[in-house]
Amino acid sequence: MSNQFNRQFSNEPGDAFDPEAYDQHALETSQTGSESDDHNLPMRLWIIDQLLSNAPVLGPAADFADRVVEAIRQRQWTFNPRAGAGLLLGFGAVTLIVSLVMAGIWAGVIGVVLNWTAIYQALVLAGGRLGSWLSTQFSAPGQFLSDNPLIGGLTLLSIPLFFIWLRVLRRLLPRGKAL
Amino acid sequence: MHNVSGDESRWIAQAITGDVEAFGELVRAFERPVFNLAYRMLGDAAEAEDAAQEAFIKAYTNLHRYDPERSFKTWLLSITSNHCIDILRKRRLTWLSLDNEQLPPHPALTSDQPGPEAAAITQERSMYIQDMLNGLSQEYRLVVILRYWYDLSYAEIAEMLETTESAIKSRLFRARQALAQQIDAQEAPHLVAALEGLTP
Repeated sequence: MSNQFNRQFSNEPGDAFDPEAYDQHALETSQTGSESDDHNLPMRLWIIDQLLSNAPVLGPAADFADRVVEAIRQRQWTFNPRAGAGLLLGFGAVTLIVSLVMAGIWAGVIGVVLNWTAIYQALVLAGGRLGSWLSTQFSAPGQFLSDNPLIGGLTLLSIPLFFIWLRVLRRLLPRGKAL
Repeated sequence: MHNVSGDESRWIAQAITGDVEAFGELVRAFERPVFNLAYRMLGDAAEAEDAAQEAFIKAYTNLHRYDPERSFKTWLLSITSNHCIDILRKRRLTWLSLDNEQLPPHPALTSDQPGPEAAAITQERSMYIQDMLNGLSQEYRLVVILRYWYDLSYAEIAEMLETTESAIKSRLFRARQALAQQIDAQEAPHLVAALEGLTP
């Protein structure tokens, strides 16, 4: 490895040790004027400079670049859907909060214009009618289950078993297949 | 100081538009200096590979912030050094001192010198230097690495570390002094003799 450091201040790598050059170097590079009481310091500094000047540049494994590219691709694929979901959640939350605040601000104004009692009664009536309609729709299956409890129990048991089977199937199928 | 080749400029431009393969070419061009810096800072090859990979990914995601007037290599090294400093800070919080532990050589490590004997000598010397570097604080270590391995000027190092040239000079001298004091007094004459024999 070429070394500008040696060229600039002192010996080339492999040159004989010159204590005076290193004393001068020490003075040039020291901004604080601190001096060591070690009389071998110039020689030791020379050793350090020589060792560092001849130190090799190490490299990574041969497939390093491919792994970096692969890691970037993986992060791009996993990052975008999450970022999208996060953005949607964020916007949703902000919209909800803004709506609530605005509703609170405008409630008084709207209350003057609208008859809140009539609206409440209409909502209760609509809820009641929806409830009775749903009750009618589910009365026949409910009666059936009541008469045949074994079928109901088996259905309840089969639901988790179905999801377990689905999970096993996913693992068995090769990656990339849509399921 | 600014030195970006035509290929580099093209790869950078393509990578900014999302071309990962073009960025792969940049990784191939700069993997050695980036890995070497991470290894010299962290002292562990596996950890250095992870750090180098993370530095490249950071570079890719922040490529639009790269100033073409600056050297791309210096920019990459700056990202790498900051990432390594973060790792060292986290390590200091979580690890007990492992400074004196002998680090195992990594099979993936390669050197410029051919032949098994030369590689063994290089490996041994590299470990000796690494042991000494591990004894330095991270600020001193970084200055030494940038100066000796990358031939960066005081001004470039100062720009990278956001400090003054005189602070870098002072830090470098103190770092060299600290390294020098790690050399055993009886060992020094033998080292001098061995190093004087390293005629290019």
